[in-house]
Amino acid sequence: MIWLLTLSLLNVADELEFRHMPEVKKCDLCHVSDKKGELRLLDGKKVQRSNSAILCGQCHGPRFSEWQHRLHGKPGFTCVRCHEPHAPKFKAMKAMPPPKFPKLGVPKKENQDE
Amino acid sequence: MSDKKQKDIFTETPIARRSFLKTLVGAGAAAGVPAAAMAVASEVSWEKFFQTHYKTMTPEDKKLVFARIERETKKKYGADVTVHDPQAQPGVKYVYCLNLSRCNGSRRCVAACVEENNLSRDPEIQYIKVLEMPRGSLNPEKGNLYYEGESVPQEDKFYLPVQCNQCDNPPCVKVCPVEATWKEKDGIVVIDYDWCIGCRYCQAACPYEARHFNFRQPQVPGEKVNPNQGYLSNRIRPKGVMEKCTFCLHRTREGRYPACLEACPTGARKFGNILDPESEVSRILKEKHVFVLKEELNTIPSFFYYFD
Repeated sequence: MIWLLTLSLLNVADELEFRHMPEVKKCDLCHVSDKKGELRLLDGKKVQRSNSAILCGQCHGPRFSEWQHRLHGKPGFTCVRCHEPHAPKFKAMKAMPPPKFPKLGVPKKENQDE
Repeated sequence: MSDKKQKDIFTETPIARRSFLKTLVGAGAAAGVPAAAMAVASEVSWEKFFQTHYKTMTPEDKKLVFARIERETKKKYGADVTVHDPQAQPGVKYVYCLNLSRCNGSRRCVAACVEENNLSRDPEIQYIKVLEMPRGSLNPEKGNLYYEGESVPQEDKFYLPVQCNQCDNPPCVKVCPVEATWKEKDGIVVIDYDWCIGCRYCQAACPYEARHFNFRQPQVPGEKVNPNQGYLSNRIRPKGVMEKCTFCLHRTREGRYPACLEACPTGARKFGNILDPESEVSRILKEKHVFVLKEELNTIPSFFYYFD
């Protein structure tokens, strides 16, 4: 059973885009493999997934402190709500359409071009 | 001549305050004008014509005025709305902080602002201008407002959103000839849209291009009208008046965040009460190197930018 679980985890790991510490290939650095939903801290203690910010805070101390004081992130959001833990960098996105270029009165030629 | 004038006043409805006065003065001597004026007025509404300044309204006046606005919105846009006027809370001074290192120029704030504040879709009015700036410059004139943004953020650019700075020394308020705009106790500069005469002096005075003029009746699709409307903030403006960002006072005075902050995908925007030492904006002002736009003009903005 455990063997099957490990296998499925490995498959997941293969499909993941893994850009967060790519040199570390050990899932169990953070995940507890025998029980779903629990995470492992560096000192071996276990935390619930709802407290995952503590796990992030182990390395990202200053950012974690800013987040605690609501200087980083959005109100009520945890780390993983915005950052995918395995590839935390923000992805480029498509912007909303720009405002229309104004054509005031008699339009200038250069106005219309843009 | 007087025939033509009279025809005009009958076809033009609803009649604006100015054209009404002009007609009265122009055709003043002609016989039967009082009767004509009465006929027009029954189509307009006496309430609107004789409405007083917001600051001099009694609670009963307000009730009547809000009911009239709700009625008119229903008639024009087919939307059931409620108009209210949350008051400034004591001990509150609103401040906005924007982290330029986080802003990725996705214009989500602009879209949310348009939805929340019932801004005209055509002609387009947007309170927030997101400028795409070359790195190494903070001169807004070098910014590009019309960038396409297929993939933002661009590597060699940063993004500078500009909206009303809610100045503590507001040039727009000083120039208003009829006191239709003023600064509230919590720091928000507001406009009484029914008192504004549309002279656009404030638009010329504002160094941040934060004020916008309604050249036409705002076009808002009926199903998109935000029913939670504030008299001084996001109710649909009449034609021919100025409008501006009010930090969503109908939300913020009731303990919610502005719409632009909630829409921001990166958490670049921070809003709060500067008089509360525990608020996030107080901490940012203490801990970060904040700056304001066009500091040399001594407008003393309540809108701070910072990099971190």
